[in-house]
Amino acid sequence: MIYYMYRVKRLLRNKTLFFWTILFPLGLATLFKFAFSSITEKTWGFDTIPVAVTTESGVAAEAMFVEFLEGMENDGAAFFSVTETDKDNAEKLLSEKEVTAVIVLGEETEVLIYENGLNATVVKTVVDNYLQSRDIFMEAAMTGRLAEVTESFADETETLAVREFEGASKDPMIQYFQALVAMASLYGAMYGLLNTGEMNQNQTVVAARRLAAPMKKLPTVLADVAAACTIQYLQFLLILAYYLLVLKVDFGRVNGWLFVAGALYSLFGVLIGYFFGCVLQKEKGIADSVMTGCIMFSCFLGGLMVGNMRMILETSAPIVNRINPATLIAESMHALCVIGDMGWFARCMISIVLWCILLIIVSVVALGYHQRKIGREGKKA
Amino acid sequence: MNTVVKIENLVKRYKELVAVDHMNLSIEQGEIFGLLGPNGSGKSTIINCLLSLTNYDKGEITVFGEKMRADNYSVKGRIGVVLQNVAVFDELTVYENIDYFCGLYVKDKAKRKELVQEAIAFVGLEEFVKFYPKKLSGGLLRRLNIACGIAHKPELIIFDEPTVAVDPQSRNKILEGIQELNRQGATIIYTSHYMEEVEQICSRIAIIDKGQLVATGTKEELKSMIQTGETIRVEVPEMTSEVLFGLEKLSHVLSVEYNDGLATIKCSGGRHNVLHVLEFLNNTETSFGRVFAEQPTLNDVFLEITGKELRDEVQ
Repeated sequence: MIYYMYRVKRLLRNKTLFFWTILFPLGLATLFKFAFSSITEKTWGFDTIPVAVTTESGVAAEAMFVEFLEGMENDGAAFFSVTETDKDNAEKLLSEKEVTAVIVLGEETEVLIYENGLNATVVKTVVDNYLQSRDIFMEAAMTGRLAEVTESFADETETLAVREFEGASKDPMIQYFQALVAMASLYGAMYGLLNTGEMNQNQTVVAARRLAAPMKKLPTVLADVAAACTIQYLQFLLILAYYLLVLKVDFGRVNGWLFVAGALYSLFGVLIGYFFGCVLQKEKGIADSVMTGCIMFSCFLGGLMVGNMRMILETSAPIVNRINPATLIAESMHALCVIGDMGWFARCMISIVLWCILLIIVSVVALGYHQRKIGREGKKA
Repeated sequence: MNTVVKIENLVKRYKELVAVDHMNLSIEQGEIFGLLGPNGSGKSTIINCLLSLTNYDKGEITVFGEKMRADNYSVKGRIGVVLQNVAVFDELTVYENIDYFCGLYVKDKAKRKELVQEAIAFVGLEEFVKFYPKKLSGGLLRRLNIACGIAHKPELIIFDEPTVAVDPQSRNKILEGIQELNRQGATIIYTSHYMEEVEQICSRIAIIDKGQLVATGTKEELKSMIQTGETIRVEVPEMTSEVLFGLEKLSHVLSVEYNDGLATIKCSGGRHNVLHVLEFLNNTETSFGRVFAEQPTLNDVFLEITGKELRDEVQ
């Protein structure tokens, strides 16, 4: 316990780490908030989403779909403002940003969007739900179960789409703040890296001094990890509180799962530091630089500098979004707080857990390798 | 006497370099045992092997009658370590540092508090308990380093060059402190390349060079191992070759060197050597100035055995 307590004290009193892991994310968030506030005020309103629907064929199904869209409400306000038009005009409206999306009805229904964002996601989700429901109805009609299915579906399709987005973030710049939380979480690596400086006797004189004491290695390492995670988690809470209470960032649904996820993000960040510290053990300076570079690159891919980077990667190299640490953190928050897709959230969490396991294995192997090397080649403590 | 540390046939290689070459040492309870040798002679490697901080290729180390291993925590708990470089945390105060290192050995909080206070008093850091290490002078830092190593009252304390880069006043305090710890019952292993310190405080000394044990014994025993019993230096403005030759022929004189008006005469352990030399100079009407006579030092021992000065290696 004394080990853990003093480690916490030491990490808390480290001014350099305090700046990078607390002040920097808070400062950056404040800057983001001021920079984005005018954009948000000008461009964002969740009142009604303008969409264009192509109704060229004139069949009854198209009219039903338009009616369905026009019938959707949120707190008494229409969810969609529907413009029925032909495809050319619809595309023109889209290019002029008069509408958020164009729904091209037909055998293969398409949704065309100009840029990604919450509104576009809403449109796509509603259309997906509608199409799924339509398929069910068609199948029911063919099997003579139409009345039964109609009854059970009576109000569900409409409420499904609306319910799904209740409590969701209305801030179009939310992805930047998600990426910031990801960056702050990954900066926990700095604590991990600092801890690894005291694992082998060749690294620092205090490491040699500690190893001369009658302490088992595993409990001391676990105490170090726990201390780093504790501080990182407290920082996660502090940053989140600052975003929500001071900057009034609309994070969407903030529920218990976010706090569970925060603990995993903290562990993830700390373990990344252990990974770099154990693999690049000989040169702390190099480990520091390489780690910081990797984290910033990960954050770049996660959308910290370019808001729609995740969408770009999703179309060009989706595997990056599946494995990039910053993306996994940001997307898990997006899935949980904005979309409310627990399946997506769970997939992100599982990926992070797998990352953690991989980092532990590589760190342990690297640590063992370096210890054997010290034994062979030697380096005075 | 009980043997506290026994090192048998210890060999440690770093690739092609043999850092410790078939070393045999035995350290008895209550001793201040000095490991004397130039930098790079293998002293710290021996200490690292002794503390199981590094593996070794051959041999056996026994501490308190038990084979020393990295996981022999009961033995480790009876050892205190004061390393050459100050091993404290910058983010913790003086009190917290001592409490932390004491806490690695003593779990009971009340007992630890008592021990920490005693250690603070022992090294005289009462006024600095709330200071951070960066605010301490070099001498105070060394005292803190010592307090961290001895707070848990170990039976065996290893001091690895604790006075490097320390001012003379602090050095004397450190040496007095080590002697006091020894009086209180601790067995001390003291490594240094400062022969004066080793000579001043150690009851037995091992001289090490290139990983090999050159000689071991009390300082008197070591000095008796060499031919030189006394070195006489006489200021002689002018000396003829006949006088020089005559001096060499005197009984008990081993060698005579004459440089820049100073004659250095090495004698064996005979009595009245100074008298005989001065008598000869007087008889040969050779004028002379000041006369110095020195007993052999450990440097003379090192020089005569290894053929090089111990001081040459000091950085």
